[in-house]
Amino acid sequence: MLLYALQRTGLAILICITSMVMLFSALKLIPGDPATIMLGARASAEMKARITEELGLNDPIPVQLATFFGRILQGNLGTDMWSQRPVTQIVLDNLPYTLVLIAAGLGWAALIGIPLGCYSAIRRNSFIDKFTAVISVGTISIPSFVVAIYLILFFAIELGWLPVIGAGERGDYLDQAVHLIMPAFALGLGWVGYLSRIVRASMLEVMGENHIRTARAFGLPEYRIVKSYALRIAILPTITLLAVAIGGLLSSAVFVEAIFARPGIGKLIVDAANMRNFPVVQGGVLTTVALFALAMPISDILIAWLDPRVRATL
Amino acid sequence: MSGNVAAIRDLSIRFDTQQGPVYPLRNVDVDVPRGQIVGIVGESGSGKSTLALALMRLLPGNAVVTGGEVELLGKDLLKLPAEEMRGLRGTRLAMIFQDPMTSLNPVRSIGQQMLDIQYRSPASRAEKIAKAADALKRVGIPDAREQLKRYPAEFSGGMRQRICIAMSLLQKPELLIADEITTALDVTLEAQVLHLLRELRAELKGSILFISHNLGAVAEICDRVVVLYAGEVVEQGPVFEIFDRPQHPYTRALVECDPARIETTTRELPVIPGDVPNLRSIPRSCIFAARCAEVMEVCRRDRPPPTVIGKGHSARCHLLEGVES
Amino acid sequence: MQLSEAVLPAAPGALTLFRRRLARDPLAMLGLTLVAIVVFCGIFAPWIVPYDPFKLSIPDKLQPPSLTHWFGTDNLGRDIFSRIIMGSRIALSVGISTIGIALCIGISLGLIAGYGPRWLDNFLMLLFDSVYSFPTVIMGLTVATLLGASVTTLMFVVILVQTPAYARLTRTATLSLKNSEYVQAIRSLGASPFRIIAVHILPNVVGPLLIIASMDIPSVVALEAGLTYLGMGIPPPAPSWGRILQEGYNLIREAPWMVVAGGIPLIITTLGFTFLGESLRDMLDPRLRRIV
Repeated sequence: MLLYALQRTGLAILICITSMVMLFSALKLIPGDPATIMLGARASAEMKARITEELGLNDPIPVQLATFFGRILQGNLGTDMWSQRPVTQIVLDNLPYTLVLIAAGLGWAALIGIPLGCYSAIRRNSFIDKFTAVISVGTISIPSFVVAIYLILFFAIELGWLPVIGAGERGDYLDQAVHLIMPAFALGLGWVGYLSRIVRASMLEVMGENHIRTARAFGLPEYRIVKSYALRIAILPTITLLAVAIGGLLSSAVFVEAIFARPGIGKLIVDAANMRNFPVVQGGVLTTVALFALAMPISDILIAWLDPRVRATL
Repeated sequence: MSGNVAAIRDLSIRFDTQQGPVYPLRNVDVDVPRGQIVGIVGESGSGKSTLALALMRLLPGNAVVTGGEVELLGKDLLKLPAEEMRGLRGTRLAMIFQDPMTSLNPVRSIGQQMLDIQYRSPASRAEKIAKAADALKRVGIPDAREQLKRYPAEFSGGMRQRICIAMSLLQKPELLIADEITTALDVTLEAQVLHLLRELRAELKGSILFISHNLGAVAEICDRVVVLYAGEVVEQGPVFEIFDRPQHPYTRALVECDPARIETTTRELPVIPGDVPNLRSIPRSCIFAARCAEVMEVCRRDRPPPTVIGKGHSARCHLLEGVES
Repeated sequence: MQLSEAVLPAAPGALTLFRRRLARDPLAMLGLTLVAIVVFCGIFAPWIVPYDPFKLSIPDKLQPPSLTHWFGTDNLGRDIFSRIIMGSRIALSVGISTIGIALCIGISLGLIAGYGPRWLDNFLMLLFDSVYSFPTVIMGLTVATLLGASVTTLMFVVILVQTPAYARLTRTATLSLKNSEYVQAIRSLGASPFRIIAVHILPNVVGPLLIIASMDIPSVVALEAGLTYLGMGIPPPAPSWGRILQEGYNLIREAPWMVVAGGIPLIITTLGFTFLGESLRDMLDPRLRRIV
């Protein structure tokens, strides 16, 4: 079990390292002065000189790469040349907002999508099943930024019920929650359909397995068979799916944060990209890559922990 | 009839499939007397498992009972409300399935599953655990309390089948249906499981419906034998009658083909020529006519009724007409 | 795999099957209709637009929808309906060309990974996994920061994002074909690796991949619009749907019809392609599952 966890984490770290090397070599491969590329044409000569010095841009490339890794290992993502603040600090300030948004979006999607999928599997071909099938294809395919903009138009502009901008007053949890409603709805909408489809498919498969027949042969009540015998197994594929989908969620979060002017990693990267502020973009990107890369081993380990069949093979 | 735990009369079942209807069981009569082990033998596809599932009322959704009656534990099974039926399962009626590898829930521990099936009992949790551990001990699983914490994937196939047996015996059922429970096991395990069943019967005083295509196993533990062929009961009777004086040509062929009975070394294994008929269109003739070595004109024209040959022994064959004892 | 193909009875042609399916499945029919509308607009845009989508007309600015301007006008007096029709051209051409290029690169790399030496396979897989671990939009923003926003950057990003997926699928299929008895038999007869790939593997891979790739069109169209919305994609004055949405968002209080109009073609396109793709996949599922 421990070995398995280490293997999976090792692969994730390898992927992170490769991604960093790719980012690093992208900078070197682009023709032109790296300092100008990193900070954009508007940067002053002084800023360019400072970044050249800080990143050792005049050193030989292997030395630069070593320094680059050394600093990241120490948790130092560099300095934002425009605000003079450490990038690590900026990222850490923004990260919780994104995590809360993703958790809220997935949370409501799971709360609706999983029971819906379950119900659709048990009452196959019922009206709710067919309705869910059509609606889920629709919600999965419509881009989240279109949903977000329409939500704003309807609930904030036309009806004036919900606030448009920001994440709410610091410390005022109610205000923050109200500000979270629309972004979380936009982010999660596609996931309602997605989760219900996955749960439906795997539920149908599990309900046909022999052990369900055994449970019935012992006269267990049907709700109990569904809840403790089938759903426990049918839910497992969604965990892997969620890990794979973290990337898509982060992408959607970028739009949602940009549209609702909500602080977070996504908005941070968009703003920095618009200013061509590469150190901040790089810090944000490395954080999201790390989140994504770590989600895989975490889900693998979680499944090994939840599924005795996998555990027995380790 | 009070001597019977289950009495099946003239039961016919139809499956509606996408390719049209299939008739897996037709006009089946089977009695399971209290305290006896009744064996059901037949080739694959002869309707053995369908019969078992019909008794449990766990037939798949496309199955329709087209005729007949089933009396189970003094109740009319086919008219029993679903809730009452569920009440019988796992208490007075239990079933052990063919494939031990997939019959247990993989994500619940053995203990959880054994507690789950006692959900009706008013006993305390500790008592239920003790009962589960006892049942495991009874089927020869050492260190039972520790094993309760483990999951099915941690046990071998033979162990899992023992666990299934232990689960089915928790509530001391009056009728236990064992569907090919030794098929997936190797010879040594099979002998152990058969031994176990015999002991358990003596202990529980319940009846067992033992479904198998292994004639050796059936001869070893059963009191009565029912021979199914392509969805019809061709012969049934006391075990020694069936094995020593088989009357139906199919039973005779079956007994001769049993590898355990081939005493002399021969180069060729005996076979029954031909294939099991297609159950989509049922001929009006004797169902075995196409493969029967002793087929007569009448066999191709009429379906023979059951003929009583001896005490509790009957067969469906035109050859036997008028031989009544 | 080859055996089962030989045993399969002669199936009705794919087209016949498709037509039969369409007749039975109203959603597929809806999908086909929507896709047909988008493709028609994309091809004939310059001839069917009621107004010049680029022509400024300040006196007509911010007109709400009316019979003369179906979707109203924007802050520069341009007819939004015409811009949206024109936008389908951008969406489709960017979508189809990038997916085409990504397919070519992905299939080549996948064949190399699947058929080549083990170390090269491992290296390429690590590379694919690493590219894959960048969330698409964030990858787009990074590249746009480095190269500056332009159509080329946008296309580069989409190709970069799509290639690993195709390469992985090709690799998996190649590996299973390579180890099939039938290819081993041909190899033992002395066929060159090049011939095996070109004649025996490639044709088996391309068909299913084309279907999968065509199902990626909506997500690529959405990615293009999204990145353009964030200011990283197609620069003005080109009437990309993402641009119309972004300009509309800035005027959401004054001219709410702009965002409504900007979202509609995206919804039509994604829904159309998805509904169509879903039933296409259902129809071809056994084949897809066998090869992928």
